[in-house]
Amino acid sequence: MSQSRFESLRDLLPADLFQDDDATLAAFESDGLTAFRCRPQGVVLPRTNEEVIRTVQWCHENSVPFVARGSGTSLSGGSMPVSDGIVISLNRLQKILSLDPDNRIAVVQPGVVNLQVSAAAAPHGLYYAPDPSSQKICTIGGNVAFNSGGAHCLKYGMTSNHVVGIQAITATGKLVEFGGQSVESIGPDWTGLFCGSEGLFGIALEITLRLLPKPEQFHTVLVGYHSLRDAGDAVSAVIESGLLPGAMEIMESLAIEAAEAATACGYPKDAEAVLIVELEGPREKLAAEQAQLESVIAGTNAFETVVAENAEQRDKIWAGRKSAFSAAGLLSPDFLVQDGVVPRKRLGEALERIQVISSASGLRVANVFHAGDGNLHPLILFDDSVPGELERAEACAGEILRLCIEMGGSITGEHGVGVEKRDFMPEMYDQPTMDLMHRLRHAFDPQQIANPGKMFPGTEAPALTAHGLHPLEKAGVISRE
Amino acid sequence: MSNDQKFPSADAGDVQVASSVTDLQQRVRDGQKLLPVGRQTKAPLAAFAVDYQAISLNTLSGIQEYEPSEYTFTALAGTPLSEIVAALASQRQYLPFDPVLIDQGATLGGTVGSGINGPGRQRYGGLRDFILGAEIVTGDGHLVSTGGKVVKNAAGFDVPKLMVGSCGRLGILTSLTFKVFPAPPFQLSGGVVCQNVQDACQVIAQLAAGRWELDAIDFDPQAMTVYFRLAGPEAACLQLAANLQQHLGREVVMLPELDHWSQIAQLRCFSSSHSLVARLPADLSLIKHLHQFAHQHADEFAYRVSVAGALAWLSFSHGVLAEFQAFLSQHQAAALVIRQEGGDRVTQPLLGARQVSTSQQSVQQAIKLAMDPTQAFPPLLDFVPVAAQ
Repeated sequence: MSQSRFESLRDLLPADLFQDDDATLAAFESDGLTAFRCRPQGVVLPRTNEEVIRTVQWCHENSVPFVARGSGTSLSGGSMPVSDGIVISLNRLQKILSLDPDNRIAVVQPGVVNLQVSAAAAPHGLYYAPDPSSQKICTIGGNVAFNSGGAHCLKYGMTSNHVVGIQAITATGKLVEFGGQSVESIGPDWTGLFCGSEGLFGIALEITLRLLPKPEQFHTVLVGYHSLRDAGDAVSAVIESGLLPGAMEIMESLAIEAAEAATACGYPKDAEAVLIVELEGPREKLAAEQAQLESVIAGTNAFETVVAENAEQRDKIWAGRKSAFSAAGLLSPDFLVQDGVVPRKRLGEALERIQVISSASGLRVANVFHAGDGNLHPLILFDDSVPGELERAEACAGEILRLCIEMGGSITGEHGVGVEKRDFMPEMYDQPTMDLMHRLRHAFDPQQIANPGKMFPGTEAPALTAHGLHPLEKAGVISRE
Repeated sequence: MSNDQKFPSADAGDVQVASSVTDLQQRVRDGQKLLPVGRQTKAPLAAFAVDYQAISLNTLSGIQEYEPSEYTFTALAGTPLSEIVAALASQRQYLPFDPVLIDQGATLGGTVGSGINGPGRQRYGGLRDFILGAEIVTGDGHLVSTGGKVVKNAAGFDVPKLMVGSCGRLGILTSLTFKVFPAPPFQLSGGVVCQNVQDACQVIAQLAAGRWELDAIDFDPQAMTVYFRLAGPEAACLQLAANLQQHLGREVVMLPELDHWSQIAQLRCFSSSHSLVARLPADLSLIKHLHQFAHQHADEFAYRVSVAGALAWLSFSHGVLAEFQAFLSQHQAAALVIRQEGGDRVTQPLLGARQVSTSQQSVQQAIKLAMDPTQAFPPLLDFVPVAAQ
């Protein structure tokens, strides 16, 4: 497309909203999946819904691809640009439009940062439950597009479980309103369909969120095990006891080593695996449940148990867990991370198979996972300066995803398919199901201009460049789940 | 007399039975126009698709997989909820959203299709929050497997959620996978008598935002009482109840069992003289207006509030239908008729006049065609414009 064609878009918008200088384009050419880069033709930085609508309608009329983007923390390349299209950056749409404490809902713009919702709700004793690790910086718009998860999904679900309504502009420039202001609705759950559609349907302009009462207290326990299997068995024991923890996380030795080096988190020495279990709720309930948890843990092969006595100790336990991925940079110059899911009872088997895959590839794999919901996060460590290691790492990642499919799980629990895992979609879903998803995409976007190259295989291949930590990750601002 | 006899299906004599999923696929490929039904415990939802053959899924029944350690089960769509609830209870697990009409024979598929939640929706969410996967016969006769069978999955479009409340208009659900939770060891209910509806709404808001993590918060305007339910270890529930009473500074009546919950679960909480039962998504502001409307039509209209004000269950006589339509129109609200009896019938189950733009309609219609390219299933329930009275 000739550059002059974008002049009509520039003219359509207030001055400086359309930018195509090298510095701006470079800033938007990648997201949290730094393996992929692609320079767009321009970036639009709208300040109002009307400017977003005008831009999308222009894209529709001119058949120009667009990629909506928040803070660019996607780990699956979900907001990676396309070379013949534009990026619509939504960070300036950052208002919390209303907050209704009586009905416990908030209406927000897509550029509102996840944690800001909880900050605004806090004076009313409320909070927004989904807590992806990048919640200090990731936006609600991006969370909605990729149905983001977090450490508390088992109990509270993912983003879509907390979205009540959406006003959106579709890829064909139509303004739609799905859901409403009540958690109850009538008719097909259009809102549920829109959540997690990875930007392929259009752009959410106003999002109505469900707020929950803030848990009064937390009870966080860190347990050391001499084997990963013992830690896995402990998860099963907690589940069988009837407890419903807010979070259950496991880290194995390589990840512990990295976390310890980065944060001196004081995890049990010589542990092959640590388990973090967190209960939450009113103090009366916690008093009963923590005794129950203590009894369950006592029945496992734990060799050390640490109970957080205060908020500071709790933060320290979580700091180790949350730093694990960025800390992997201390073990290896580059790494890939996957987020496949397996049935919880097959976690031990999955980890053994990952170990075999790791040995065969000659690459180390550090495992951290949301044990409560079977959500793996293998970190495949490699050095991009060694010829062939990147390819081996990608092959290793692919084998792990296939393992998840074979075990009846999913290729992604919370990062989304994006660019990274699109080739595996037809392995997870059969042809009629893939055909249906294509038809649904077509219903919103017959020209396939909204976030092309994501979720579906066989579309524009992005340029592959060196892996490494996201700059924000290096700075310690964000971390990966 | 059972409730099924009390609320007969409009098309009870004209229902064919699917023998298998393949049979369903073949019927669609043969060009049959079908409307899937279960045991028709919510008969109005199936009663108005006159050109469509009601096809029963009752023979597609049974739990296919249940892994208590996974917190998941998969069952055929025609499986009665009673069978599922019993299987879960045997493993001390449950569906936290309190599915309704279990005793009347409601099926899993019909529950998803109608999108109805009970009072327990308050704490952990509704059907939409617990559905993980759905196998569906689409309008081109294919069987698609959407979503997944594990508790966490972000791959692909969330078609299972789309099917919640779709009333058989987008495809035929054949098999469903759900997340479940451990059942609480103990439940304790209580009632707070309020002075008026404003006071009740204030109490509801206080309870819902409070530290007690209540499982359910409902309101019965006839008793002018807000009911709540605590769940968890017994000692904790008793302590929390005491703390709640202290916090509110008013009398709280504690009850081990509460008729209100079972009445809502069976939709038997209303006057027998009313012919229609409907559900109305709401908020506390709408509840106050609804109270006024009910007061003005006391003999013909009654309501109860569920899910901390997010839902109103209504019962009313056909004679008040026009006034109620006008009320819905005035407040841009919509209600869905779930049950009816007697000779007078609504002409379609969706009441109200919520404005839907042309562009929105075209997008919804495009989604409908993606699911149902041959229009094998009835059109989407639509909103009928109502002139102000």
